[in-house]
Amino acid sequence: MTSQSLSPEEIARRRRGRNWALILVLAAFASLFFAISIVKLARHPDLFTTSLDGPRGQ
Amino acid sequence: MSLSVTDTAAAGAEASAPAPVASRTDQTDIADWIALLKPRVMSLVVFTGLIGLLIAPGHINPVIGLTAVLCIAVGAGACGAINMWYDRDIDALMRRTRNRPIPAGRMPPGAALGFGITLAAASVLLMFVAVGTAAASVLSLSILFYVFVYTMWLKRRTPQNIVIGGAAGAFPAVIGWAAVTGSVSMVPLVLFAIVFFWTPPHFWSLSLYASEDYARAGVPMLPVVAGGRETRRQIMLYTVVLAGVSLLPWVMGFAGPVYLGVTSILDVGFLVSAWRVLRDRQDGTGRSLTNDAPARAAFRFSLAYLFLVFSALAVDRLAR
Repeated sequence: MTSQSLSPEEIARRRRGRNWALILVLAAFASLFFAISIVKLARHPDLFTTSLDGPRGQ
Repeated sequence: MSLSVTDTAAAGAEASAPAPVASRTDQTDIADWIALLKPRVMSLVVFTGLIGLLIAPGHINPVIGLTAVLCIAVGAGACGAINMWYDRDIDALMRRTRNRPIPAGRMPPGAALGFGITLAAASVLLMFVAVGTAAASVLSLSILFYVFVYTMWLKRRTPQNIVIGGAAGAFPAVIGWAAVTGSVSMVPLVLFAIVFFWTPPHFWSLSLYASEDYARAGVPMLPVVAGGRETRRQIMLYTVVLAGVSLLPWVMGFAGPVYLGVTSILDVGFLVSAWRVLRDRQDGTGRSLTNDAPARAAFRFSLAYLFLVFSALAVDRLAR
């Protein structure tokens, strides 16, 4: 039960608005994690080198 | 101390119809989700956190710094959402808060609680992963303090609620500092003290002219429990202490003449505001005869005060 009764169109409009907001938040969150990862990797360049890239020619 | 909290709560409950309760989020608008985060409180918290971050010695990558400020903002928003969930009964009784999403019946209480817990956990986790252990620890401490100590324990039990609970709002500057340095020292604790001693005159000025609202909801704010006259005296007292504490950054050699000059002027302004509140024309019970005009002015001035004192500190430090 809610305090207001909205038309189906209005409910659909609000749901669309929430969905768009969620998409934007998720995109921003993904971008932020990408940027943080780049910063962390730049601080520790040795992280780029895996054990598979060890001394060559041996 | 003539007014019982239980009595006022019961009287308020009898006088009001039960608030509507939403059972689904279908009709919830984005604006309601944003309102849960208490954006105005959040802006002040973000500002003090940012200043703590800017004046801390050392360097922080802009992306990490931005993440720290974001975590502070989200953590503060989480506190707001959980606070609105817990206080939904008294929010419905107060004119100032009855149009909030939960008491207005636009959002199910459980949704607000889930939203708040999710944001709180996410902010602490992100702070830990991206920024560091110290900042994440202080952030989690501030969230737990606000939710459990202030909201659930103190707010409805003691007129000292906002004095002790004010500590929660004083943490962000410490978090900002810890984000850069990875530790907590005397300087951020002084910033903490400034916000801590600023909180009582700020909130009590508001509660002087909103005391009927608080009485209706049974919240034992100082004017409700001890009366207007005692509240005005306490505002004056805390403003005097604040004036002393606000000069500590200069006394400790952390801030220079810019900070000293600006803060001294602001201290005089705040003391004059508090004095006017104290000398407000009142009836025999301490009720203002001027519609609490001095208290309203003091509340507005207190907002500008904190903003300008922290700005002066940042300018002073960055100009060195």
